[in-house]
This record gives sequence, C-alpha cells and structure tokens, in this order.
Amino acid sequence: MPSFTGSVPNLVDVGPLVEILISPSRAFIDTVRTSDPNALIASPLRATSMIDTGASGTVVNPNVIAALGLSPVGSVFIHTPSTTEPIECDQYHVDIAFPNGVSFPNAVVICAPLGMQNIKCLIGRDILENAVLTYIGYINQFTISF
Amino acid sequence: MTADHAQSSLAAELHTFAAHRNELLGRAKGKYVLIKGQNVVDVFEDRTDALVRGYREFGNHPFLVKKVTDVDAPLNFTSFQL
Repeated sequence: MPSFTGSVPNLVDVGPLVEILISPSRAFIDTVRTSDPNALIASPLRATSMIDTGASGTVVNPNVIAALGLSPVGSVFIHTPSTTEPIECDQYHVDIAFPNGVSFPNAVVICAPLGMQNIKCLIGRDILENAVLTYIGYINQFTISF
Repeated sequence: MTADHAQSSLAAELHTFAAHRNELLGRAKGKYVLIKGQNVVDVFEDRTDALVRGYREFGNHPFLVKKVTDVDAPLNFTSFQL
C-alpha cells in the first residue's frame, strides 16, 4: 500500500500539511491531445495542502485552478461555518500527487477561496475515504496510505 | 434543493438539468449525466467515462457532469470559511 509520512514542528499549531502536485487529469490530457496534439496543457503545480477530516470534499484555491487553465465540469452546494445558506461552487477534474509517488487520479475538486495563509488545498473526505490516515500527535507526525 | 443558478458558470447546464431531472430520475437514477448548454448529451455509469466523453465532444470548455439524484445535498465543511 503506497504511503507517505509527514512531520511538522507542531502539529497542533500548523496541522497536517503536505506539499502536493495538482495537475490537469490524465484523462483530460489524453483526450484533448488526441484531437489536438499541440494543445497547451498546464504543468503540474505545487501546492501546500492540509489534510482536513472536517471537509467532506477536496477544495482547491481559485488561483491554482486558474493557473491550470481548466474549465468547470460540475457544480455543488457547500456549507461552511460562515454561510447561512448553501453556496454553489464549480468543480474541476484534476489529478493529485502526494510525496513518495502516492497519487490520486480523477479527483473532482471544489473551487473555493481558502482564507488560510499559504494553504492552497484541503484534502477532504472524498479522497480520505480511499485512505488510511494515522495521526500521531505526540510526535508531530502523520501518515497517509492508499 | 431549489436554487437560483445565476452565479454559476454552468448556469445554463444546471437549468437544463433541473428541467430534465424528473425524466432522468425515471431512467438514470444514480448515474452520471453529461449536459452541454440545453442538451442532455448522454448518461453514464461512471463519472470518469462521462468526463472523457465531455472532453472528447467539447474540449476544454465548460460542461456539466452531474449525478442524477432526487436532491442536491450540500457538502459540509467545519474548518474553513468563505
């Protein structure tokens, strides 16, 4: 089972952060390149993400989505602590690569602004449902396996 | 959930879905529907298959792939705010 282990100085303060690569999905690349071999496809982008068991879906910041040059393929309503009514957000089709060669293809992610500094992505329970997450607070370490 | 989709970049597709929802529930409940503008293109068992068909037909332009369900239950987030 592919896995990686992350360590941070203080898991309480910063949370389980991990550097990931977000790219247009392989399905998108292959299909678009079949019809247009010269189609411009964005390179994978590095993004600091937080593993968030409080998020039912994976969220990516709009500036990352814009840089990937993708068009929306879905729409979903979301509730957050600051919303009184559900908000409708676009969804985008991406591949996500964790360190140590752990990849998660064909993720349909929600595009929404994340107020937290430097965090460009929340890894939500839609991805975690395929994983084993081990959180070892007293040594500031976590492991995710797929 | 009844909603005004005016803010969505897929407003036309969402209106099309709403207009065809009952018919889709009758023949494709639980499947994924591909919609472009006012056209219901096809339904699929698998979401990725629907996305690939969308890329093949429309390239990198907006289209809607949506699971056919009775209601649109919102996703919940307890740790970030918009």
